[in-house]
Amino acid sequence: MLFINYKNLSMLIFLTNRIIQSFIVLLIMSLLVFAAVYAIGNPIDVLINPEASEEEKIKTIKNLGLDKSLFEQYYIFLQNAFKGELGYSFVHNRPAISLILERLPATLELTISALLIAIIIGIPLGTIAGLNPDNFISKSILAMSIFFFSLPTFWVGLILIMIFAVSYNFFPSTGRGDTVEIFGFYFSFLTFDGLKHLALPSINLALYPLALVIRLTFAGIQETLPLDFIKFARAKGLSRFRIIYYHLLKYILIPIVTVIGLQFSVLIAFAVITESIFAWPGMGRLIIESITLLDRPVIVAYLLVTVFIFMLVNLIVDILYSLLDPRIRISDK
Amino acid sequence: MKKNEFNIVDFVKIYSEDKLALFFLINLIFILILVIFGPLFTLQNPYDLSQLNILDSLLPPLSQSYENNYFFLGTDDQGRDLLSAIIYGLRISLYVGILSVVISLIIGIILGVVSAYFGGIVDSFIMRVADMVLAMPSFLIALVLLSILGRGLENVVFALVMSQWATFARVIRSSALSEKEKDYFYSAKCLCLPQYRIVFGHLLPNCLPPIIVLSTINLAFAITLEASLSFLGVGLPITEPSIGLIISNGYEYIIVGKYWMSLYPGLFLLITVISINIFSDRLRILLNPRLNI
Amino acid sequence: MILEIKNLKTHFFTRENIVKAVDDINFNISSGEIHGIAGESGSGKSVMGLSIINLLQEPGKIVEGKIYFNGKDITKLNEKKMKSIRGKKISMIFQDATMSLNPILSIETQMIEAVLAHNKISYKEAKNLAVQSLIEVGIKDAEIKIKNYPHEFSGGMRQRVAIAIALINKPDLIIADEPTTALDVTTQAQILYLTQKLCKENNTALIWITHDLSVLSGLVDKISIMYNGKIVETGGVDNILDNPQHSYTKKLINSIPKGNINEERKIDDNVINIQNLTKIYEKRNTFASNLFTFFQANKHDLKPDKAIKNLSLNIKRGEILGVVGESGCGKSTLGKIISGILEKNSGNIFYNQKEISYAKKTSLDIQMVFQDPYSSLNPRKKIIDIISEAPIVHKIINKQQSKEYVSKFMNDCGISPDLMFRYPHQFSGGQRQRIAIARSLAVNPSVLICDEIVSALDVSIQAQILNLILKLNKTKNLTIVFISHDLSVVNYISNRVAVMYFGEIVELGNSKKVFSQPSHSYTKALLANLPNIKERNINYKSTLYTEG
Repeated sequence: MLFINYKNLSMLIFLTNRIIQSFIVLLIMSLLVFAAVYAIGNPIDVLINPEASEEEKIKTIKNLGLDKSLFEQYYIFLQNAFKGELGYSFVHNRPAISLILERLPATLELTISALLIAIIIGIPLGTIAGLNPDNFISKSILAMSIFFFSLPTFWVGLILIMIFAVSYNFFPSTGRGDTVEIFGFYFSFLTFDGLKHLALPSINLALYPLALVIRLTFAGIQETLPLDFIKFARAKGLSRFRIIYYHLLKYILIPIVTVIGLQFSVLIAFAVITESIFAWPGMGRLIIESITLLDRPVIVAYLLVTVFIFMLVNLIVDILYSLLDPRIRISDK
Repeated sequence: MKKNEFNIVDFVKIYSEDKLALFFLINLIFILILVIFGPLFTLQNPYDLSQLNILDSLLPPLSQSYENNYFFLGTDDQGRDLLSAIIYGLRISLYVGILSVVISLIIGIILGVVSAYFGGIVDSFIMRVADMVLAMPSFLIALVLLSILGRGLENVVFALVMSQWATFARVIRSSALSEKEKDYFYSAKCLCLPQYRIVFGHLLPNCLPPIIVLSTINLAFAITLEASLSFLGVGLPITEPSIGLIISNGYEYIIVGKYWMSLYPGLFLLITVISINIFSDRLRILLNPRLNI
Repeated sequence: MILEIKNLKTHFFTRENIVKAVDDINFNISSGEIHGIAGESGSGKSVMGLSIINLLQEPGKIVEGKIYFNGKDITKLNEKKMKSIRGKKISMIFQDATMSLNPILSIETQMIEAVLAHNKISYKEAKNLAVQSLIEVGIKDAEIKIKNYPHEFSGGMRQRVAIAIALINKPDLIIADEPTTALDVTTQAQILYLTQKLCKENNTALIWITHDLSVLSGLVDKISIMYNGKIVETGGVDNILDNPQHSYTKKLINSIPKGNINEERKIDDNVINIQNLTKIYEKRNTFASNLFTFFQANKHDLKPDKAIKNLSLNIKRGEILGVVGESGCGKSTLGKIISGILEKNSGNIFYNQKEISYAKKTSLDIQMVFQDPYSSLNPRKKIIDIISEAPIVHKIINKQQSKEYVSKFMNDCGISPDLMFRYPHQFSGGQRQRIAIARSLAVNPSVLICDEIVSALDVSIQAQILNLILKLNKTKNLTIVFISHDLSVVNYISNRVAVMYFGEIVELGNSKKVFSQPSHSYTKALLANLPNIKERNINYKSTLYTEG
């Protein structure tokens, strides 16, 4: 007997659909990155260390297959990419991909803690402001969110260093501090010293998403409160607690999850600034160094890895979205 | 019924009741005046080396110069008056910001309206490309483009436009699509009005509220983005020093306690961006547009 | 008396002024009584309902008066005590169950929370109660259906669920605010019948708030008429409907379209021929098409179920043809295709023997007026520009003549030409609809398609617009296609009527004949369920066409 659950089936279709889409996007991105690297100037200048000797250059040209046609080269590039090889860094003289992956945990640690700060503080503040928009506290919260929204991340980083590290010596201003190894990766949030190092950079990075989460929660509540189903829930005689947590917050969580997912990508990008100010040894700092040193293979690897992360996050958000909102005909998205 | 009209009376009313907003509106006007007429009342042209004196370098705020001029905000490592540098820097920052928003807006309007009006394959193609751009954080797009193109004013504007056009195109398409569903649009078709009249006379004017609000939000964003890029050393060249570059110059002096070179330019940047953001927030309350992407 | 309202005043304090939504009302209802409150929009009837269980939203406030519920004044109760009354003693049903049920919670959750908020019983017992309640409102397979989410039910079923929730704690009083307005006639009749039956069985008092007097005729024991925040007349249903005293009540009753005033015209000159028209809204659901949707940006534009199947129809010159049917039957789609603003899939449409095509719409002879007077006028243009734009573009007049030209059409449509320099938002719904008609007439069409043009209007305004249409039909010899879901309106205005059901015309003929001796079973079901001001029973007669 074959019993097909329609809901599971459409979920499967949806997932396949999304994975194929992500794959197409990755393919297009690889093409764009490839084209960008090759279209601007001589690929030999771009891909081969300018300080190399003439002999070495010829050898590398052959190694990299630069004597072949563009099509063949892209094909080889793709083949290598599938094998996880994205070229050698000139500066570090190591595979670019392993350089990136080595620093990925530090960046993820920073972005996730910033996002957590934003969510844990932002949703309650936004809720308070949304429920009583006219009192003084709510107005202050909203004014604060515009303020945070406008703060230039890099400048705030400098000011934080100035106040807490230079003037008061409260927090260390650079580095990651002590780390703990888990599954071969190093994390600093498990030691006190590590947490102290993490504090300033993650606060710095959290300000923008915090402002966003506050405003989003506020707007969501303001839009939902006058809706009939809230009125009907009140007419049923439900407690205020149940209406807020069950009817209101669960409903506005849907758009918030989407935006937070998108913010994750934005934060990985903005981590470039925070990492270079606080000398946080993540992949953002690596990319800035690579840009100044013209270490192109690392840039290419960084881009493809981040795009891959974005696709993954988008996929997770889409799945969460369809779990949270029963109305979505998943196959329709 | 919510009026969709821009009403100057309502605007004044909202501002007159909101002291904070009023304060920042005055700030914004002040900054605009400062930026437009700046060179008339700065102490010096900070980039004319003949006007600088190395003996004045690294002076704290409110010091007196070699020639008995006051440096209200101190000087930098080359003896440049910081206030003059900030005003010149803001000029460049605002110029780059406004230029990039205007170009993105034009591209966004064209693509968004074309997409919404014609639909079909044209629409699908434009929107897929826009989605791809939107999937990447704008900061990353700009960073990568500049790392390939190198520093330069045109390059920065190009990078900012490339990272912003998709938002405009998406929002304008979405609001044009919802206007297209309204009966006045059907009625214009029924009356056999020519296409250019339907688009420019009926569709676009009704898409204005989201366009206005989005432009002001993006202006603030573009200014911050440019400053960040210049701070990282991939944005504007040293010959065109924006606020970000000035802050970056003061970076190394923070550790030794010479804070003013980074603090004050950042404050000016912050006040500019806040003023624009509050302005756009009040516009949003007033116009109540739907900013769907 | 279960509820006594004494001198109730509810005001809204806005920045500019105070709106006296409810202004000194006295009202009584005894246990088990069904009391209808009728009034037009803005009469304060909904505010009165919300005042009783104190669900007013800012800036509304009860400023004066007392509400005695079972002898106790509940206006002075604190929020906690009020909560124990809401849902337990007094329940409420709102207009649209699509909006009043939380879309992301299952029916089970939403029913059980209502039970558990007031009773200290186990979850299992609560669930049994909920299932029982669903069975009572006529939902089949309640034990399975209770796990569903609101969007998995149809409109009528959702309203049944809302009623089940309102009844679940066996309240003494239910306040129903326009609960059938969003429903089709047949569904409406079922809901009316069901509510009446359940209230009588449980001896529950019911306050039924509506704009539609004819709904009340079979349902209620007493009627109160509201106007401008006051109850102008209260009485038994027979007294109010057959022998109204107050002038406003009389006006309201006279505005209800009754009977048919138009004979079929004896002309056989067809102005429009429609042959084998088919329109399909594509619905992609296969695996391959799901992959394809990646390249398809406008998915939300695809609206299924509004198709037209192989439809043929002749429209005679100078007649008023009514097209009637329930929502989703394709009647609006038909109107848009005839007027050339929507593409057809196959079939032919001839206007004066010449074929009409969507791709090259050049003829101004067929014009259309739309349902929503708020979205059919461009909010950024002045009235003079709205009306004169097309005539100027098509060189019917030049710019200098526009003032005079526009005045003429505004006069024809009953709007003072002095107002031509105003913007649409400065007009009321009825006036906007007149402007929309004037805009269409200004290009001198010979066929006017009216798509639900009165359904957003109050009944007294509705009567005026209907008379305008009749006048235009007579004086200008204008052919009119009048599309509506409202049978009595169509009956009142049309010479001939076409009844549509799922994209097909099931009956076509002389209005008088169709409405008095319907031949098709769907028409019969529609007419049988139509609330009628003369009848004192709910016209719930046919189960032939119910929703699944």
